Amino acid sequence: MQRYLARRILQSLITLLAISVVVFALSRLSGNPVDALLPDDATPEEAAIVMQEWGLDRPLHIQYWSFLRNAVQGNLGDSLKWPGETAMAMVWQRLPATLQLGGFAIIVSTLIAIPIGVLAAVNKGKWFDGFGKLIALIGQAVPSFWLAIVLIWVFAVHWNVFPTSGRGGLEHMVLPAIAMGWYQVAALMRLTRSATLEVLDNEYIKLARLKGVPEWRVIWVHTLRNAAITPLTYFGVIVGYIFTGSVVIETVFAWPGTGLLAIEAIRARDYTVVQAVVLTFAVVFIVANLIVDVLYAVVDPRIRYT
Amino acid sequence: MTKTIGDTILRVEDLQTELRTKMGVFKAVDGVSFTLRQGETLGIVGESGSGKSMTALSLLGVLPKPAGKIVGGRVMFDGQDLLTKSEQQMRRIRGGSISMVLQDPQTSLNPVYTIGSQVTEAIALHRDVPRRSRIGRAIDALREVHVAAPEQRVKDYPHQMSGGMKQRVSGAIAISCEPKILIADEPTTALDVTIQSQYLRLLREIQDRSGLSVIFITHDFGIVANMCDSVAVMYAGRVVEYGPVRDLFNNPRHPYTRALLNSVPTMDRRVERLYSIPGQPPALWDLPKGCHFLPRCPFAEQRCETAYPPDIAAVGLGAGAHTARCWKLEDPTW
Ligand SMILES: Nc1ncnc2c1ncn2[C@@H]1O[C@H](COP(=O)(O)OP(=O)(O)O)[C@@H](O)[C@H]1O
Ligand SMILES: [Mg+2]
Repeated sequence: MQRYLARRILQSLITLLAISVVVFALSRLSGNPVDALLPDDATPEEAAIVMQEWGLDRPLHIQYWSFLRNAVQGNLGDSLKWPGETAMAMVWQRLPATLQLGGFAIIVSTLIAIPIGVLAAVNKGKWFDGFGKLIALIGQAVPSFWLAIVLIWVFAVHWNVFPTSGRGGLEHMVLPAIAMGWYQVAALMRLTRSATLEVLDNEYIKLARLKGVPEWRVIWVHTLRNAAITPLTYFGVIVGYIFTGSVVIETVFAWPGTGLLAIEAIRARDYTVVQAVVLTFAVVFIVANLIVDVLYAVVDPRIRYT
Repeated sequence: MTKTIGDTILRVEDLQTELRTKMGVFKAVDGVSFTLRQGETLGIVGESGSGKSMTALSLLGVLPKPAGKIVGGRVMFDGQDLLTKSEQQMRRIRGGSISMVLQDPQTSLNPVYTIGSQVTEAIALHRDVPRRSRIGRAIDALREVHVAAPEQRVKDYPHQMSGGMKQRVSGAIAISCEPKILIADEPTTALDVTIQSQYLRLLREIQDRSGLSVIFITHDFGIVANMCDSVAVMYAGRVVEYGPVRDLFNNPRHPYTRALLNSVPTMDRRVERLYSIPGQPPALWDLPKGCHFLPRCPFAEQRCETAYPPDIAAVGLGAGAHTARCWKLEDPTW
């Protein structure tokens, strides 16, 4: 177990390092950052001075090294758009809102998707399975921004049961969470269904029945624990989807999170803030995957002992 | 072997189990009857696919879902017909009074639970043992099937054990609640020769100690001769010959039984398709009109094509009778 964990943590750090290289490279490839700092009529001399001030005249690997050293300390530079704020501070301010909405969407989708997936498998070919398929079809066919607009139109404007936008209590989270989570429900449900079907075919499930284990226990204890391994692997991916999806959903619902911040920063060509958002998303994604790996080992002893 | 055989505890009458598959609807078990007495070992023999496992699973009402369904017959146990019992009542029988060890030891234990929890689960379901003493009972059951250091093994997971060891654990689960009947499904197919003979010895030992009745499913006549008191030979979902083991060996009446006996392999018994009977068993969803063995039978005649033969007594009547389903038995010279 320890060895398994140590290996995963090491892999995560390497991934993070690779991402930092990509982020750094992208910020340099997307044009000279000096252009964003200077007025259009600045002279080359003025540009050179700014370049020197920001260390942009140094060789790239030196620049990367100082970028990395600063980044490790949580220092990603000052915001270009919002004077007096560091890029990281901007992200920290907005992150709780995104974690709140994203976390809510993930938890609710899971609580919906797993039972439906299991029951669809148990009732394969019956009406409930068809119902599950319909839910999955909608979730996978309808783009989330469109779903968001329809939800707002129906439930916020027409029936006025939920607020149209903004951050607030539970009622503010319902529509954005549905818009964000439906696709995840679809994907998770299908994974759970097929994993459950596969597990149900096993001899050890037959043996559980032959031991006299009640059917609910056969399904929710003997089968689910085995069937959960596949959807669990997908959890890391879900966290990625939810975070990247937050850029769209937070914009539609004016939810003041990092997704919305990313859009604002891109519009303002505030590349330090964009960088900070991307790196933060990467860290969240990697941490989520690390948690998944731990859970994976908790659920499946075959992982724990290798 | 000094064991006493008592009264009938299980009487299966005309059991019929239907399967709905992509190939069609067919009877995997078609009119199977036999009796089992206390302390008796009944062998069910036949080629792969002849319905041996399905017969056993039907007794316990654990059929493939949703394909399988029992469509006829009676399973009399303890004076009651198991086929009329509710699911809840059947749960008490399963693993409690009648337990079964499955064919493949590699896959019959749940990979994510410890051995200990899988044995104690059965005990918790069927025996009124306080929670804290259950693990002790589980360790006892493991010791009984000669698992070394059972106190340690209960904490292990199946993937940490060898195939032979897993089979013992399955055995421990099966005997942990002191059932009256143990069904062992092809206990020898998946294992090497030494381990299989150890396992067979173990089965006998447990039976001698507890007076358990055993239904022993196999495709290997050689093992039947050593283990069983009586034999039912199955072909395409039906019992084609049934009787005391000695009678059946000395005087096999059905051409299929004869063919099986002639092809008993001597050395390596593990290979399933060793029988040198020409041809294939028929597809159950597409059976010939008359005798199902007809296409492979060296003695086939006109009458075999028109109707499936009834059970015909070869020796005696009632308990201990030897019967076979072949028209030839009507001939005095056969
Ligand atoms: N889960 C299942 N679904 C559909 N058909 C099955 C299933 N299990 C067994 N069968 C069919 O039922 C018949 C009897 O099988 P089985 O009882 O397992 O044979 P045996 O144990 O004698 O080898 C075979 O034709 C087999 O193909
Ligand atoms: Mg079988």
